[in-house]
Amino acid sequence: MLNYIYKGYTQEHFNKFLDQTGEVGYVESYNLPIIKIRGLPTAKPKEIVLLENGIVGQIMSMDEKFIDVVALSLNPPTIGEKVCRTNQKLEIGVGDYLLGKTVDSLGQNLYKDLESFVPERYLNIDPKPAGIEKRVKINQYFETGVSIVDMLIPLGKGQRELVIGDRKTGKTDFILHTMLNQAKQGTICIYAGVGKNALDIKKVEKFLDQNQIKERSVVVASYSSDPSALVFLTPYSAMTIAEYFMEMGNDVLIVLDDMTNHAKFYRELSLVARKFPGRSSYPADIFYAHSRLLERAGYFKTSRGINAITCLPVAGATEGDITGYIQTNLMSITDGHIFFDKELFLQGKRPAINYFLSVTRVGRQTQTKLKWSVGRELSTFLSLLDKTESFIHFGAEVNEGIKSTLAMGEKITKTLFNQPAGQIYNTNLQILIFSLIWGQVFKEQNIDNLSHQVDAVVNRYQTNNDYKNKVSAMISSCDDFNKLLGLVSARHMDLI
Amino acid sequence: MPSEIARTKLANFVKTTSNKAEIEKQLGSLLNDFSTINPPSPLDIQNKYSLLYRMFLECYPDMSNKIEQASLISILSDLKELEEVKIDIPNLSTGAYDEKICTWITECVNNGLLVNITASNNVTSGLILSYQGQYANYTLDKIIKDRVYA
Repeated sequence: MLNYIYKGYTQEHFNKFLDQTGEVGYVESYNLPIIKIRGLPTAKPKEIVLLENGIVGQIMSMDEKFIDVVALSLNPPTIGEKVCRTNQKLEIGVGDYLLGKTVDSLGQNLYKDLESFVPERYLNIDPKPAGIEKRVKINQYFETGVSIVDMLIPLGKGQRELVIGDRKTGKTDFILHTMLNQAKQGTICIYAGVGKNALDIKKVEKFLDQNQIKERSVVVASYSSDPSALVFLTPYSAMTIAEYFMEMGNDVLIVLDDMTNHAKFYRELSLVARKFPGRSSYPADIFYAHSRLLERAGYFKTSRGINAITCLPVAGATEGDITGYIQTNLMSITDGHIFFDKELFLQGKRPAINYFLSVTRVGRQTQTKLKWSVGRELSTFLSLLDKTESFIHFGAEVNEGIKSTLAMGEKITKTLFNQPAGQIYNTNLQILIFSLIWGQVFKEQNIDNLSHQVDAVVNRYQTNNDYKNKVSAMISSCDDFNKLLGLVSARHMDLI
Repeated sequence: MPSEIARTKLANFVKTTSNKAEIEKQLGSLLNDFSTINPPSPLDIQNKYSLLYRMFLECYPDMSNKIEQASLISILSDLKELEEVKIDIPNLSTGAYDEKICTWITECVNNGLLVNITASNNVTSGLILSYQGQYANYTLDKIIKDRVYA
C-alpha cells in the first residue's frame, strides 16, 4: 500500500510505478503548493502521484492539457522532472497504536524525532460517506458534563453540533471538558487541530495528559507553518481515524478545531490552482467539501454493533457576527450550534454560552421524560428572566415577584451554570443541584454561601458512592420534575 | 495553427528537440535584429542565419523572399505546438545510434514528431520511450528483472 509515504520512497519505487501504470508526466511549472503537470493521460482526481526527486502530491484538478497537483511537502520540484501515477488514493495508517499519540495529517508521528509508526492497516482518507441504510436514528444521550449544555442544549450520540464564537471565549475549554467527560465514559476522543500554533497543540496535549485521558485520545495536528495541503487534509485524516475506532466497536467524539481555518487554507489552495473564486473568494465547492466531511459523522450500524461518531466542529466568529459565509454553511450542515458570546464572557459568565442563540436539532429526542421536563422548566424560566432583566433596565419599580425571579436567576447562573475550570457535572448531579435550588432548599442562603453549599454537594456526589447511588435511584424513580421536586423537598436534609 | 502538411514539414526539418532549441534561439536573435533601425535583408539573413534560411526555403517557401516580424512570431508558436517523443538511451551510445533512432521514428512511427533523446545512466541497453504521457520501458534492465522476479 502507501508504505512509501511512511518509509520514504526510492528510485526503485518510482520506476516500479512507471512500469506498472505505463504513464509518465513532466513538471511544466509550479506555484507551490500547486504543481502543473503535462502527461499522465488517464490520471484520476485525488490520485497520488510521485515526483522523481521525492515529492508526493495529490491530484487536485485537471484540464485537457495539464494536471494540477497539490504537493504534500514544501520542497520545490524541478521543471521537466518526471512524474508517475500510483493508481492509489491517499490513505493513512490506522491502528490502536494511535491512542495517546499526536500525529500529523498523514498519520505519522508529529514529533519526527520520536518513534515512527509502522501501520498494519491503511484507510482512504476521503471515502464516500455511509448511506442511509447504515445509519440509525440518534437515540442515545451525549453528556458533555457542562450543565448549561446538557440541560438546555442537549446533544445526542452521533450528532454534529457546531461550536461557534469569537476568539478567546472559552470554546476550546468547553471542548476539552467534553472530551474529558466522554473519555471517562469510555469514548475515544479525537482532537483535530487545523493549522494551529504549536503552543495550542501542546496545551491540548497537556490537558489530556494531566487528566489521564491521553490513552483514550488521539491528537491529529497541523501547524500553520505546514504545507497548505497538509493543513487541508487534517480533518479528513482525523475523521478516518474516528471511523477506524468506530469500526472497532467504540463510540467516538471528534473535534474539528477549527473549520473556518480549514476553509481559509482550502481557499488558498484553490486560488493558487486558479480555480474560479466564489463568495468571499472561497471556492465554489466549499460547501460540498465541508458537508461531505461532516456527513461521515453520525450514528451507524457497524459489524460490532451500533456506534457513534459525534462531531463537534468549531467555527470562529468576528465580533460576535455569526452570519459569515463559512459559519452559516456550517450551521446548515450541522444539527445545531452552541454560540459562545463575547459579551457574556466579558460579563464573567463561564462558559459564556448564549442559550438563546444556540440550537440543538437532535439532542432533545434522546432525553428521558424527566430531563426533558427539567429542560423545559429551565428554558421557560430563563426566557422570563431575560425579559425581566430587560424590563428593569427601564427603571421600573421592582415588586416581590420580580425580585424573586431575579434572585433565582442569579442563583442558577452563578452556581449551576458557572462551572469552575476542570469541573465536570454528571447529568444526575446537574438535575440534583437544579432541583435543590428550584425547590428553595437554599432559600435563606446568600450567593457566596450558596456556592459553598453547592460545592459541598458536588464534592459529596463525586467522592461518596453511596450518596451518588442514592441520588441516581431517586432521580431514576421520577419521570416528572414535579415529583422529583417533592422528593427533594422531603429528603433535603439527607441531600445537603 | 499550422496545417498538418506544414507541421509535418517543420517537424521533418527540425527533427530533434536540440535542433528546435537552436532554431528558437536563432529566431529570437533575428527578431531582435528586426527591432533595430536597419532591419536585415533576405541576403543578410541568408548569410547570418543559414539554418533559418534553409528552414524558410523548405517549410515556408512563400516566406523566403518576404520575411516579417509577425511571420517569425507565428513560426515560434508553430514550433511550440510540435509534439515530441522522449527517448532515454544509454549514456555510452554513439551519434550514429541517435541518428538511427531519429530515422526510425520519422519513417516508421510518425513523421510529425520531434525526437528528444536523452542519455541516461539508468539505461544500460535498449531504450525508454515516452509520448503523450505514455511510457514504455524497452531496456535490458527491465527484461532481466522481469525474468529474474517472474
